[in-house]
Amino acid sequence: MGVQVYFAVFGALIGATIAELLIIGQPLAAAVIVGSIIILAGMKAVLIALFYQHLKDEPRPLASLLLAGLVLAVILTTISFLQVH
Amino acid sequence: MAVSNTAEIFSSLFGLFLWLAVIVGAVVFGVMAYFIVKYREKDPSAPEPEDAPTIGKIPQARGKPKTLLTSLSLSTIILVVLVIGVPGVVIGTFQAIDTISSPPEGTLKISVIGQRFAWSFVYPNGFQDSILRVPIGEVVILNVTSTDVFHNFGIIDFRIKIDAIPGRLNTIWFEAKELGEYRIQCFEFCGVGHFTMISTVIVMEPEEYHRWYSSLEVKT
Amino acid sequence: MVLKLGGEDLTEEVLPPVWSIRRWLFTTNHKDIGILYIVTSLYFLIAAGALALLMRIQLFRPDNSFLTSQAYNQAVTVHGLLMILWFLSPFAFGFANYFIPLQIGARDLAFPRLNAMSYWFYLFSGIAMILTFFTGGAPAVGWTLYSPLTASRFQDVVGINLAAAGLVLLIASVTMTTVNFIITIIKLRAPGLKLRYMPLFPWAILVTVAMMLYAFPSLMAGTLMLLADRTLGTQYFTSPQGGALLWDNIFWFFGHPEVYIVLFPAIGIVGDILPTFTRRPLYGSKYVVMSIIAAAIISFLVWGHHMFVTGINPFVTKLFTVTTIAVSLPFDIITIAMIETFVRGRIRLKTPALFAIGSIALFVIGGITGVFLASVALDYHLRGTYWVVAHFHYVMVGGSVMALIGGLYYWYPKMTGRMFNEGLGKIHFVLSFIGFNLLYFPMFLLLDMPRRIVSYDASTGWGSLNSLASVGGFVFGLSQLLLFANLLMSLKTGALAGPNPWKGWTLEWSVPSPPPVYNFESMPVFSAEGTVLFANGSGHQVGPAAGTKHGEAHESHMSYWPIVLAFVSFIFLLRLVFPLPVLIAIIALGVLALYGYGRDRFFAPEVEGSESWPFERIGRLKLGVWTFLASEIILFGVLLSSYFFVRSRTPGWPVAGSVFNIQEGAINTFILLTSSLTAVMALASAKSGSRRGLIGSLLATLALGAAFLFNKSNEWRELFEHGFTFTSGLPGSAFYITTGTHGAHVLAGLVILVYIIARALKGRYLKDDHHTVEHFGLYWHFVDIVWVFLFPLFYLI
Repeated sequence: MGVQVYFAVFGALIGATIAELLIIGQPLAAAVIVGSIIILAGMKAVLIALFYQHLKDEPRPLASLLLAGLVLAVILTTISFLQVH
Repeated sequence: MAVSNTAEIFSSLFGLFLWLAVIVGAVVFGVMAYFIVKYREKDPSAPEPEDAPTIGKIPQARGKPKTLLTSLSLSTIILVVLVIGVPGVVIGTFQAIDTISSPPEGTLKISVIGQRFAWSFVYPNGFQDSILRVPIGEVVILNVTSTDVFHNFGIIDFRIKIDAIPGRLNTIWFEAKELGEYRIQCFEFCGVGHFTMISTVIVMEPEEYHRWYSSLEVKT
Repeated sequence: MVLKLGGEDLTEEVLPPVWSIRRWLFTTNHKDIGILYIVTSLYFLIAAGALALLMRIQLFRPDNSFLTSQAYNQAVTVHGLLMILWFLSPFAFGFANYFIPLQIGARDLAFPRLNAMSYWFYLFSGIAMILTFFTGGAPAVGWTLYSPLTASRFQDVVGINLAAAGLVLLIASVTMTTVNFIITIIKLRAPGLKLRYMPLFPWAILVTVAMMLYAFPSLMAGTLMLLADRTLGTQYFTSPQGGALLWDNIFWFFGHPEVYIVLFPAIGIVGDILPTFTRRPLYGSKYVVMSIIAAAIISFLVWGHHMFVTGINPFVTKLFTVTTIAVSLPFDIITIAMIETFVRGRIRLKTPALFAIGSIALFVIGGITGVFLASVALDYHLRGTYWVVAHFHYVMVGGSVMALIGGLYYWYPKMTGRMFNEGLGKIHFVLSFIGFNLLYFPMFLLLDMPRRIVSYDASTGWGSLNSLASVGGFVFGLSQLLLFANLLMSLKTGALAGPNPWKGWTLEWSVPSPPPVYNFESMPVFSAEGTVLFANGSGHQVGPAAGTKHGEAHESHMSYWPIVLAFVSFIFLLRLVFPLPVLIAIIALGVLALYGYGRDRFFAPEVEGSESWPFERIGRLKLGVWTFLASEIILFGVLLSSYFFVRSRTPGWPVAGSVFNIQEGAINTFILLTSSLTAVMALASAKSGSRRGLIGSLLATLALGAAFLFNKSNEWRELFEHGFTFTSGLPGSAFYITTGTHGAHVLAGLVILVYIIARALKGRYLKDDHHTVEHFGLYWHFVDIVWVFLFPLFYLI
């Protein structure tokens, strides 16, 4: 993987961060803002994982190991929220 | 004769579970005992089975799903558990949840407050007491909370209990069906006095109840 | 006492003799560690068992005053904690340590020093727990540590902080063990040993550690939050918006998988014992493995059944009823397969087999009665009663402990080279079985009686059943003395055991009893034709009998640093609980020990050509780092889900920008993102051999990381000056604890980075030697990813 890729990813990360900062000032519904910000954060995380941690070059089951943790965390968050609302 | 409607709900469902448990248990233990007796080693010098564990031999796969299912005695368990038991249990449970969590329209709403280490009951007119009095045959709605730690309010013979959590109001309801005095106890560990957090619910005739209620002097 | 060891000169060269203390303090050999775990966990069994007998004396009759309420409450709490966390799993992992490498044809675990370290962390954590009795009161809150009872204002004793510190050490130990076993079972299998040929015990352990990986970080998060509440004044568990329900979710998200974590190794042991003593393969072993995996997955989806009567949304309780009933179904398959194993076998009812069969029978009762509890409607009566106590003791003691004791008898000849007294073993089984049922069956009939009550009055009519249970308790408890007497006596007087007294097929029975330190004289090779061949030095070379790829003469089996690091961590945590004047000294010792660990000339035994599907192309250490990061996802995941939970229930949460400075947060974000760029550039430089590029990038990363922490400390100082502190409600709690935990991770990364820079300056990590830089990068990028989520969630919304 050439070094240029690292810089390209870095550009995307900075760009996404700036996008987050700009979105919160927009006159949009709160749910849209929160949703967009979480999606942008997720994109940044995926870029770092795939290209800086080189996850895209590793055996596929490794991603499953990590995804399982993420899924469990989301389940905990969702269910505990549903319990009280 | 169940002492409350909630006790009825419990005993019928518990009865179903108990039947399933006894049947499944009897079959499983019966089969196990039978196999162990039938296949125990009688003659140490007799040749071993062909696939007996041996160093240097990887055990071959044994048993197909078909044989598992057709094994007569064990398929009884599967039949009982899966076909009858699970839906019965789930449906019965769902119905019970719906009943317990949605009290019908009722005028008698009493607040139950748990604190270390006693229960307090606040009646609609504001009267506060350490004993719960209810009329027989009427819907009683209890709103339960705590002022300090996690307690649990349980009326043993009514087969009902609900957690008392600070900041939350949890609702249960019941309809008493027999006169008498019944034990209330705390069912969530709350400290040194947890075992003393005991009270009583007195089920009274409606006329007697309303006489008692109207005679209360309420301090404002 | 002399234990004969196989393999003459090699033993004397690599390990001190078995009677020397040096041997046991510094060993890293998996067999030694296994013995340490087994012996230590049996101590905790006795301690916790004694507490239980005290409780049974107190409950023998109504209105008894043998124990005060406070004493009883401490006993019931510590009994639960010790049994579940300091006995059940460690005992099972004692066997896993000893036998997994043997069963998969390896010479040791993947990371032997980490293994030793996990034991010493475990030992010190247990000492912390025992110490609580001597520091003004052990925790008296139930092993489930429910909130808000654990708050400072209700528990004014330091014992809970000390117990929490013990938990932190234990969870660290567990995490190390988890990573070690996952890598070992995946990467160190003998050539040809495909996963489908593995015996049931390694399969069960693999599933168990996978569950531990995702479950224990939840307990870690909860423990840290509880410690913060108690020492810093945060309000996670003392506020109504967090409080009881928040702890319930965090604890049981860990707690339910935990009870299967203590069960599966026992199922694995039964799966090994049954074929040996029925002389037939395990019936449907493929389906048993699939069922264990299915149960493990579903076990993470049932935790709400511990919250059935908390007044939560009925839709959610219905969901949990369905998942809880679903989780019982794989266990049906496992039980049926085990029973079918008997068919057309030749069952030898020796002591290990008796305990395995007893375990199945008692597990069936425990499992069935658990299904009762799966119904919310029944739970409205059964919750918090002795029905629950009976159920979980039937599964945990009847199911798990009985099988583990069976394992102890089963593997005793292998570990000691001696046979135990079979007659005494049978008597032990009969008395145990009778005592167990006398003790616990009456508790089902006490379904009206609340749990955790120190006494009850005579009018309840609970007296006679309690008396029966207490008698049973003493029969059960005292009969265990036969176990100890038998095993200790037989060390001297038992008949000599050969390599395979039970005629098993698994590989531990192919080596001498006890095995030599290097395990296998010639490495086993599994073939697709269904045989296991033993290669020797010529022709079919699969690995050196001694020696490593570094060309050293010996494999390492000793290291000083594991016990030192564990001791340092223990004292450090003690220092957090008590005002001991040792902080500087212990930090200095810790830095020294970390440096020593890093520079240790340790050569883990290696075998070439090992089976590693599905992770063939990734190195052991890298896979280990990734596995650790998977557990960290849960740690931060729980912290964040707690944030969502309390924020959604707190109407007056500060609007974005009103408390936290968005600009400062954004600057820190840019700093950390840039540090990820410099970290990956460091790796690129390392791989290409550019020493300047490597050192420059590493220094830049260090500077950026330090800048991040510097900004953060300024930010915190400003917030404190404006009155926004730990005690500023849930917004304060969530912000400081979540970003603080992240900051601690940044700090840890910088400490490692300093070490790496020092080594890089000496010329290391260039070209093929780049792995340390790569592994550091994985950790550093993960920390960056966490911030990528924390920044918007805490600053922007």
